[in-house]
Amino acid sequence: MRQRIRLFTLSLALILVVLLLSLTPNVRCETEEEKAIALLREVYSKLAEAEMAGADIRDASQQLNKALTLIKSIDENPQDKEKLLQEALTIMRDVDSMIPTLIDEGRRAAFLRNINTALTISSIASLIVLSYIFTPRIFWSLWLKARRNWLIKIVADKGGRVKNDRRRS
Amino acid sequence: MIDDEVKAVIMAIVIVAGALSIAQIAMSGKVSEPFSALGLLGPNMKIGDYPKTVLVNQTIRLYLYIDNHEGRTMYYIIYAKLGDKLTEISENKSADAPILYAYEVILPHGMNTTIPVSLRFSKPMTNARLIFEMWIYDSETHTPRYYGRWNQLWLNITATTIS
Repeated sequence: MRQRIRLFTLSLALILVVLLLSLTPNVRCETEEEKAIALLREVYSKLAEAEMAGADIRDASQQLNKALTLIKSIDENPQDKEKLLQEALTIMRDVDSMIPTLIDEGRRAAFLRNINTALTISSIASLIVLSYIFTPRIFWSLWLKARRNWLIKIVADKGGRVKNDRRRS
Repeated sequence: MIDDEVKAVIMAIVIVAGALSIAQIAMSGKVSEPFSALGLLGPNMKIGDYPKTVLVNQTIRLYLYIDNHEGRTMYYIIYAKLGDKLTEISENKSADAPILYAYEVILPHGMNTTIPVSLRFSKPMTNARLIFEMWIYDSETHTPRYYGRWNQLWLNITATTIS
């Protein structure tokens, strides 16, 4: 009886060890993928902040998407898991390291854009004022130039009155 | 020299033209109506030829079309869920159904992508609804959020017949 109990305990322990051994790599795999996704989302959040600050993150976000594709492809290629994860992590680190530069460039670009907008608006406003002042003068000078060889004759009706005479008295 | 009425007309034209130009400059680069689009394409990458009946464990191939016009880079998560005719889904409420797979993509503004989808079903089912929901990863709350866009495909999943 005692031997049976010992045998049962031993086999139960063996089953438990086998179960633990078989489950551990899967659990580790999931955790690594989840960690990579969490890190990627962290980098994405930083990129989104950089974009709000005026940075052009188009290339960086495409790089990050490449890392995301690599992580997601682990499901299809579990044998290359380590390689894919390493590659994805390298891309993520590269993107993360370029964020401060992107923010600086974005701020500079936003500053130049604001100056450009202000200059364009002020030139349009000046154009409005200049057009208001000079358009009538230019129009009449051209009108006069076009008719400089004209001979003017005042025509009166039978009663000697001039119709629609707009000359200043 | 020139009539006051003519002056007023010139002034009005110039001011209107100037205001329009300034408005154009102020609005340039800004998205007035931001939106995201989610489309489900058939096996030929077109709208149509969708499978209606599939066998258990048979792989169906579809394509997801995602378009970003939000004016910013978006992190989309598309959940493929398997529901039935009783599954409730709307713009505000995501479907309470098991997730088959999650497709994730980061897309800059003005860009679109087409993701291949390969799915298999393990159980037979009549009037199954293959639902694709668009979620986004919210960089402010640091959590995924249902974004109100969804597509569905009605399917009959039949058991494999032995001939």
